[in-house]
Amino acid sequence: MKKMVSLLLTLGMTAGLLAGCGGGADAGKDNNNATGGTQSADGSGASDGETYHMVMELITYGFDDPDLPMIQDAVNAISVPAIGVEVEFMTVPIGEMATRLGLLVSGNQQIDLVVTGLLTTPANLAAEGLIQPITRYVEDSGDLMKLADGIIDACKVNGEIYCYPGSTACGAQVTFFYDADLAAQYNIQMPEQLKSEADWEALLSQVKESGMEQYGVSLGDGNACEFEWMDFDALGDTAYNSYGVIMADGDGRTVENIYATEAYRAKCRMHRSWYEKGYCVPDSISNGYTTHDTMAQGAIFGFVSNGGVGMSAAYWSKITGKNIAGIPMEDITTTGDNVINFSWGVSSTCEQPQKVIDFLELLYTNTELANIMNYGIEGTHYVTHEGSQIISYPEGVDATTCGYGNFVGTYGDSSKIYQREPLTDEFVANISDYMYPNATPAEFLGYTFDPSSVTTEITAVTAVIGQYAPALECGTVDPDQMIPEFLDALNAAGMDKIIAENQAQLDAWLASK
Amino acid sequence: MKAAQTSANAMQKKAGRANMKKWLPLFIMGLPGFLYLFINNYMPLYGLVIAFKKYNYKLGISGSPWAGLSNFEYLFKTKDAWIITRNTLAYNLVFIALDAVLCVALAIFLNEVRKKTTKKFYQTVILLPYLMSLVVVSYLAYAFLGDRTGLINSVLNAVGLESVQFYSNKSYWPFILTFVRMWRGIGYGTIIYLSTLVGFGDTWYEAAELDGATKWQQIKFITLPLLKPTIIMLTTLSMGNIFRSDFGLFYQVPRNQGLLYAATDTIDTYVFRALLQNGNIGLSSAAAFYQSIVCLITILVFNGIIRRVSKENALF
Repeated sequence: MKKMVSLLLTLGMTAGLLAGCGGGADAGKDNNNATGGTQSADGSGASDGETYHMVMELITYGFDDPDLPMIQDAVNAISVPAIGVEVEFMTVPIGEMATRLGLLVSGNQQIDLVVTGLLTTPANLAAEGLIQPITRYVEDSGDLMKLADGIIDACKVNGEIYCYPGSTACGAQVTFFYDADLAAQYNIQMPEQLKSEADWEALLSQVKESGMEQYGVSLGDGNACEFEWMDFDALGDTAYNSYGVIMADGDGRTVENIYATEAYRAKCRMHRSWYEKGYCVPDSISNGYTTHDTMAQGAIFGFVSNGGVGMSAAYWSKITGKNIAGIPMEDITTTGDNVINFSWGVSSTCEQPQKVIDFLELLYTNTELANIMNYGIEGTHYVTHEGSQIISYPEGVDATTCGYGNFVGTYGDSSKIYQREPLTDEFVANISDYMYPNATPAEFLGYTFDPSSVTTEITAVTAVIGQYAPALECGTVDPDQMIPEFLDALNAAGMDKIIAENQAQLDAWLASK
Repeated sequence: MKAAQTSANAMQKKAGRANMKKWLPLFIMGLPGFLYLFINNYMPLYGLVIAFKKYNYKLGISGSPWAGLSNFEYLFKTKDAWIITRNTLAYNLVFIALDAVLCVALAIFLNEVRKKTTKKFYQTVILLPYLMSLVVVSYLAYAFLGDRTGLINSVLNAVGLESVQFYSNKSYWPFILTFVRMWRGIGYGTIIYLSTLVGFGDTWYEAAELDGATKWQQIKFITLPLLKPTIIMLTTLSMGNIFRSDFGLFYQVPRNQGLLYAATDTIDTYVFRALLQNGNIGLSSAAAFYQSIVCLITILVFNGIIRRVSKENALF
């Protein structure tokens, strides 16, 4: 009897499970239809007479904007008559972006325009067969080529273009962002520049002695290596620098193991001394907070981050809720990492890549479309001001209640679209500072490392880096004791082989230029 | 001789057919379960091929090129392979041994509690940690062990002692992890033993009491021998998973601190971390395959040993 009952239970549960799955799929379908746009039948203005239904990936912070269908209809109202492309948005939470594309492609579900940067790299996606080369289509588009002049090479893998830069004003400079109110309150003399160890010592000792309860800086949370203190290009692996790097002060053509450099050792020693003197948050490595979390909590005076169009002092003020000011630590430069950090690609299962590139071209040339994608509908989601490129929220609406805006990245030509407060017109006027060629391009800009022949080594090396680097960079261990052990482990894992492969590819690339 | 054999075979066949008829309804009843098992546990076996492929999403499983054993290489690339295998094995052995001893002891104690409400209360209290997510447990542990804010260090500082840096000193972690695992898992293990104990009934014990047996003698000569099959079965089952580790325990509780890896890293956490960044399906399949093979070998060996020692308790 007992067995019968349990069997029945199992049956019931199985049936429930199946029903649940089926229901979920159906619900998804309905949902798709609901947001599928109202224009599907209307292909009248299309260039070749037929409307292509295109699915575009939107990366979100985890929840969907309620007004997304409205935005989709507004986008289609422009794109269907202009180029015959009907867009359907597919929202993907950023934490899932690396796995979702794989599921979609292997499950043969339609996805066309995808984000290739952020937590993924175009080189990896291409090696796994998730995106297709778009060289022909991009090169045929004069507007796209002109906008990405000088930086499009960074989008190439083995000579083929695999992605298109999401922001053409992608130059960046490492910046120290600090709480300006605290600086004024405690009368901190902010230095002109922060380049040498002495500059830092002068600043941090002031903070320590001023009597404020905040620590000077936080050195990171131990999950990601905080490398923004050094100037180099990671050639694709910005999270772990496992591919080897090109140091900014080197000859620009030598791939090095950053962890073996004297500069790295010096940084670790400096951080160790800060740790011992109490300049930095001592448990930042284990307390689970990122540096800007710590800033938002008011536990530190400042932090170091990349600065750029999307990451200005105004942006950080919004994120942390403090009055943030910044001191640039270096000149604005454009490296391959900056270009592909947010970029667009076409999935390998896309049937009409030409249409997708047509849409991309429209997005970069039609400012109205780009503004809709970035900010929503004028009047509902933002209001403009006479003679200014800066917009603000309408009366009674703020960042938390606005029905659109929860996505990662930016759309279209950064120099033409509106910018949101608290950015200023002055900033917009100087936006070209962040664009090629004003933002100094690195000599090797356009070179990308194809890691496919050394994936095993990279996996092993990354594991070793995750083990040693965070503790070294947060100052919790003595670098003179730990670095030799770290380097031995790296070599055992095959770091030399990766560097040699990378150098060989770079040499071949330089020779072909 | 031959004729006798044939007739014996025929008898067997006949008996088989009769048996079949007798069991058929039960087989039909079990069919959905078998189907479920087949779909859920057997069909995915095909996916093991991925471990030997250089997986390409566009080409699919059958279309991707073969990669030989190269996916397995990274596991054995560094001395980590030895460390993580050792950790996985050693922790699990300790856990299995402690589980058997502590859970049985606790089950016997609980069984001796006569008042029903008190018994239920204790049972609930020791089970409660098991229902807690390991993420929560990780923060609980941090509340005790944290460098600046932890309870232990606050107490140490208050009495004038130096703080202990738990999260950068690996020597404490074997004890911390074992403690957390036992604190969390003991309630669940106890319940299984307790339910077996309850099933024994009072007759044995009443008879023993009449004969003047002490409590200890009752435990030693009645309870433990009766529990033996359960202990052996549960231990054998855990042995089968000796190469798998409680991911949450080893990943969340040490807060993924690099300095602690030598003491806290197991195969699962190593593979997870290594693949988190690369998302390479071939490598993760290879690691899972390796684990499964070693698990199978362990369970065969352990079962073999039990068959030698006490045949009736072996699983197969």
